[in-house]
Amino acid sequence: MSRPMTGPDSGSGSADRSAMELHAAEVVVRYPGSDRSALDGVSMAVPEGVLYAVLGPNGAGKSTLLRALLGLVPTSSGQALLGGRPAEDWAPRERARRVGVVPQKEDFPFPLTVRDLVSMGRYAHLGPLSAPTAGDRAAVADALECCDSSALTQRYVHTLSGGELQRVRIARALAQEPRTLVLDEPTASLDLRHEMEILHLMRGEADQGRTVLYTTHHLDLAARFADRMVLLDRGRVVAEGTPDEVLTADVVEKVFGWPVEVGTDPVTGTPRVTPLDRVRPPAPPQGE
Amino acid sequence: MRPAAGGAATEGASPQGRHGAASPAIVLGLGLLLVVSVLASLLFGAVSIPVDQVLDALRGGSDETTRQIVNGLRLPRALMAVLVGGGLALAGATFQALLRNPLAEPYILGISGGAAVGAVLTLTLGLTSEASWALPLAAFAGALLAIVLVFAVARRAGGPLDVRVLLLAGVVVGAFFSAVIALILALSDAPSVRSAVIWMMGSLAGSDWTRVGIVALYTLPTALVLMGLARSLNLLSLGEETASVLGADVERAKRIGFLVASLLTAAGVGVAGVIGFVGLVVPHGVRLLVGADNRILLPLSFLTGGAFLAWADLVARTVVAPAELPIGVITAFVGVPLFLLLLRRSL
Repeated sequence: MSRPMTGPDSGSGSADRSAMELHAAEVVVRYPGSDRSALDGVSMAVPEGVLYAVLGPNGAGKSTLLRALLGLVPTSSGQALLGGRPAEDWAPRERARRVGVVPQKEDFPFPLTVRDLVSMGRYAHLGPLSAPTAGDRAAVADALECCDSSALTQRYVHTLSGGELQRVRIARALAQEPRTLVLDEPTASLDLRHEMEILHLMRGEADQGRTVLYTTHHLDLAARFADRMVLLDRGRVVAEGTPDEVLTADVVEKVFGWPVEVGTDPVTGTPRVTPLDRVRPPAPPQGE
Repeated sequence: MRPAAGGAATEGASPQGRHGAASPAIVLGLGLLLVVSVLASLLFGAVSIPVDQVLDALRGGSDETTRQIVNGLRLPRALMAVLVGGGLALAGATFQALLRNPLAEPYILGISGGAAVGAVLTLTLGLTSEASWALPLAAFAGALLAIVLVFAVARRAGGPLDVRVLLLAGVVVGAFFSAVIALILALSDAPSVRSAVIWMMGSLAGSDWTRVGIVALYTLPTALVLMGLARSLNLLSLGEETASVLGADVERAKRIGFLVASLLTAAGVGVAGVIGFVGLVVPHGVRLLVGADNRILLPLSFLTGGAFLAWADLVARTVVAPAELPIGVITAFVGVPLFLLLLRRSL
């Protein structure tokens, strides 16, 4: 399968920032009717070709950060950049060729086959009246193959299991042949095997040069697979960096409001967060 | 993992990469159905005319009376059925995609009712005649008013994407428009009341070439615009945010879709009155045959809607001949049971 490879020097010659595929600078997002900001001055940067995890408790602003970086929600101040350009300036069609997105959930009011769904990843590449070419069909077939879903092609999406549906939705994003993947809780409610399959898939894409950004609640697995991560709490960045830098006991304990111990996983050698019983006095209450 | 041998073979055999080899046969079958429907409309009526005489008359042969019946009465009426039925089915399929709801339909949403108010008002005020090109525009104004009201009601009650809320909004707005029409009729004289009531229940009686021309003028361009929107509608059925990240200009597609589908509905209502459930029955049936891809669903809904209304009209004007039933009665008798079935599934 031919992939648009992104060389490490593709953004060379300009400032540091342009090598960042996704970049948030002091981003503030406030939803109408809400009294507090969903994002309150968030700065973070995702370098090209990196697998990057966004962590944080429920309501910390993880999904909102993704939406801001994609230009799907207006920023009240600060700037969200996609490929060095303000995220809100991207036309939808242009953006769809640059970034493949797997939203947290979607439902299907009409019967749709897997092939229909994955083919929608090609729409941004088609002219207004032109039919899909052999190249488009090959991209769909490659994406399905890549997500181990070729056997599902003729199935209706509403008959798929959670894990199968997730693979197919990722295949749709890959069919876009994007430089970057953005996934909102791609492994939520999946069992161990399906979760590992998706993480391996994302890791593989990053190893082939794609930038991959995702949100998750699984700290240990993020520590194991992600190159870099950001930890959000109530719309603010608590820590950003490598898993070793971000996942310290103090920080995790404070953000999640539960005592933990952070050790090293004997098998993988990456940070492992172990929640403790509440023997120590609990950390000061964190909101609700 | 390699695809199963069978899967690979199917992929190779189907150039469109869609539902196997069935699709071309289905397209051909539905096209043929339309031709047969029009032909049947020419053969049957108060008097039956043998098929060879009909074909003769179409070529300018046969006797004067037969030519008059076939070319002057039945053919324009059959074409009117095709244009109105096709338009209503296409509008229904479009509203369903835009609202992500298989129950959406111009009649159920109150849009046909709004169009009827626009048309009745201009007719009783004597602003336009029944065979005017401006009548669909008056109906269009009413249809737009209906959409605005339906959405205002739905938004207050919890969002237009909720089936129950949307249906409730449609019912409320439809009831309001019924009351408005009742008011208009109460203030009108008796003969116009009877003709208005019959017109409102839907009828293709009185179709002549002028009116066919008027409806074609509105229906064909709008139908093409909607079919051009098929890909965006496919994406929109996944939700607005998903549609946007897959490359659809969501706001533009919604604006064009609602406006143009309303105009298409108004064109049908303007000349043929309120004909309900075509936009529900036909897209549903076609979806069962070819799936939900709007690139195929929209054109086939148009073809099938045309055939469906041609048959409904044939029934309407033959079962109690020489009198006629309102065509809306026939479509409702078919549509209501299906609506209930769908409702049970979506709640």
